[in-house]
Amino acid sequence: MTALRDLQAAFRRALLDEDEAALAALIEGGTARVDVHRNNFFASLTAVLCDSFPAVCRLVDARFFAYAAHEFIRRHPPARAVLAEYGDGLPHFLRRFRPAATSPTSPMSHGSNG
Amino acid sequence: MLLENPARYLGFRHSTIAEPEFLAELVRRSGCGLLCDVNNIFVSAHNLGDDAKAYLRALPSAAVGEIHLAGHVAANRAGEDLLIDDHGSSVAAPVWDLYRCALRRFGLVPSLVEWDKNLPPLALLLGEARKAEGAALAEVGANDRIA
Repeated sequence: MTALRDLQAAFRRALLDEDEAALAALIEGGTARVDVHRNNFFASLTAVLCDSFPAVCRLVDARFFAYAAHEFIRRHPPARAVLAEYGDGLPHFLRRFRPAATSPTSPMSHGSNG
Repeated sequence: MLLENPARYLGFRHSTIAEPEFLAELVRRSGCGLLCDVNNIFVSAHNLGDDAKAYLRALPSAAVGEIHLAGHVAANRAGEDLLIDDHGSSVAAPVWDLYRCALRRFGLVPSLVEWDKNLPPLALLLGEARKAEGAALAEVGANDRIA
């Protein structure tokens, strides 16, 4: 019998693109079905970050925000259940996020004019 | 508290109990109620090869306190034809059919049409709400005639 925590750990690794093999052994059908959950995972957390940082979300291009959010979410997935509290590490992440340094509209830009 | 049945895209090999039986047992042990999402039942049944009407019949009818309806979208993932619950279009005809079955089984309970992506003109939303109301009144009317 599979322990719930093992299933959850395998699911988490598959969502974060780290390893699908463990989950593949537990599910019926192909792992392509995990894409549905992965898309929902990243889209819903990107929306949470946009709600929490509305000025950043407005100032930068939507595709750039989605890209930056995706990289942040992949490296710092939620550790707590309350999603409204998610994302307090985003400012720190963006300060060190190289593509943000060259974005002309980025409020996180630390270019030579800054 | 009403617990809602999810839209599912994956089956788990170690499952030993079908979802509606699991929900019925959960209701029996905890005393919670159920929110029956008929679109999720339809989507899950398609994705996992189950029978949507059999799922509906297996739910404990007295526990259902609300019904949800929504649109879904077809998607192909690596050759597998899936339906995805996206709340972004009109309620599909077979989901209306399941809704009428649900009304016959659960009686007149509050119903909600979920549409929060690709928002259409208000008139279209109101049309969906009127359609749900019409279906509910028709089924309740039929029950009254039987009574």
